[in-house]
Amino acid sequence: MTFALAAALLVLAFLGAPVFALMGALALYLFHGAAIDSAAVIIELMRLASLPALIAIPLFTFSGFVLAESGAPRRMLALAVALFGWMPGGLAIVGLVSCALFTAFTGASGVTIIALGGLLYPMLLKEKYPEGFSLGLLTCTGSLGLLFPPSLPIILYGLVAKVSIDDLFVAGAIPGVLLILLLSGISMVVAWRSGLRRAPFSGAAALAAARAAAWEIPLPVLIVGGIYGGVFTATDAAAVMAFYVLVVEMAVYRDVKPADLPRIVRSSMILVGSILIVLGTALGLTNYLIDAEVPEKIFAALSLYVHSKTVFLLILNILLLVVNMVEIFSAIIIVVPIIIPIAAQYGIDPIHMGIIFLLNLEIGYMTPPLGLNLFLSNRRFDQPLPKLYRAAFPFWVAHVLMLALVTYWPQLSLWLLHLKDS
Amino acid sequence: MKTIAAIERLLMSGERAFLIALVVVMVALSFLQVVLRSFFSAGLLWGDTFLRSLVLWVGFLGAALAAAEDRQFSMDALLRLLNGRTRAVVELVVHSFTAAVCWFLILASWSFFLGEFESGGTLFSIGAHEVPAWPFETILPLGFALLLLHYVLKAVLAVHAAVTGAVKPPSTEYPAP
Repeated sequence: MTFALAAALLVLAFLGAPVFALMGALALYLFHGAAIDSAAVIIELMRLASLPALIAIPLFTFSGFVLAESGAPRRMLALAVALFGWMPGGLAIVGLVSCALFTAFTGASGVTIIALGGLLYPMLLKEKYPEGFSLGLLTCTGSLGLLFPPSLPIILYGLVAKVSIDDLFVAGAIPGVLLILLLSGISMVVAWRSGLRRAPFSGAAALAAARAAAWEIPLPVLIVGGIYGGVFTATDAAAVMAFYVLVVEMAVYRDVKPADLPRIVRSSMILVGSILIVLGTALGLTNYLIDAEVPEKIFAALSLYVHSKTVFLLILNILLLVVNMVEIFSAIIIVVPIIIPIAAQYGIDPIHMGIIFLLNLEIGYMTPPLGLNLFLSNRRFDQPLPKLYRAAFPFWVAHVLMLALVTYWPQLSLWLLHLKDS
Repeated sequence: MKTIAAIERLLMSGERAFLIALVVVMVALSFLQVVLRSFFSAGLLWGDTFLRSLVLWVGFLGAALAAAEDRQFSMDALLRLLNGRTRAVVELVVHSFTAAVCWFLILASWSFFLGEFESGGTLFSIGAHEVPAWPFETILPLGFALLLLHYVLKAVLAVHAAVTGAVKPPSTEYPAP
């Protein structure tokens, strides 16, 4: 019976049944089998309402969608061009930095390639960056910034893994910055090899761009600085940001009209709702699995073959790449509760685990054939997928190198955290 | 079939209107809490509990709209490759399965809700006034009922599409405008 049900659910999953329904069905079946009242599934779901940090999800998502609708991406890009455009590979670096920032602020929901990619692609081509490089760069930037506050996947990881979201943000800082530096280095080499002209720096242009974005410049400082500096918790930062963004974009810049608000609320809350319903139904299931000591059983079986932490991490990385190609939010919700106890047996810190997990997500986004970024680029730039696979490959390799570094050098993630705690 | 589509639209506009009101309250109240805490070392005692319940409401209404717009998380790669009647039949199977799961989740929520209602637990107090928890928990059966309704409507539309062969092409928008 259990086998038949599992097979049926698997078929339904591949036919496109919603993840929440699959989780719900499995939870209801397992609780029924254990002679526990089905209300237990709902008691687990109600735990959602006792998580203090949960409200950060709707608030950050909402502010991100407001920002994406406004002229903020345009203003931010103009400012970045004025500030960094003169450097070798300047425009590519501008793209990396602004996309990372934008992805972090919009909850990594795929808006970056749509909103910023469309602006950056013609600019890069106009400055004579090679087409393949430009496409690859923009395809990978769609998920760059996952490690910076206030990215939604990090918040979700913190909630599911029951570790401090603020600590995760601190731990992600060095790996995140290193990744951008690595990609910037590649951009500089490409720009130098293609013999691109450098634009001169203009103080007047920088000032004008800064003045245009005057109300938005405090935002990253306030949120990122506030969280790293320990002034705010992520939840407070979310409340401040939602209010600030709404006032600034509606009353100061007037980019967002009251008539746009219903559409923004709808599309942002659809994302929030689809995350929360999976989270709610999966809580019952994962709790059942933990009560049934499934992670311990997996570890017992695994430890017969895998003795070293190094090999375990390698297997984990490969597994996560495959899982994350499917759907990243569901991947976090379902996989994290099972993997954390197993990783702990191998002596891996849950915060370090989080950074590995999220970097894996970033790579999953751009891994052929199913990575979401590749599809977004395919649609946005109207380029065939095989061409994008080739274009994104060098960036994919750079990401994997970074992943190896983060995985096997825990201090990279944990050093800043220890510094903060001491 | 026009009636079914009209019911779906009506349902969605109701959900949307309610959602907007809740989001406005959520943004304003959560900001007020931060201001009160930071500058006045105070804060509404019931505020955080109320906000946490609000997130549940927002989540269910968002999930209902996600169901209506086919934006629930799923592996839809295969579905995108299918066309015509095959697609309609697969959609019918998937929507019926989802509706059935929602039905059992409604039963589970209802049993949970009755337990809560009878025990008469308090969610928070405003001054001397005690606010019971059960009105906030109505969203559980209600939310799953909204999901059920959307999936039943979708299943009916899929039957119609399978019979007539008039199948909508899959939406390619991401994220939706």
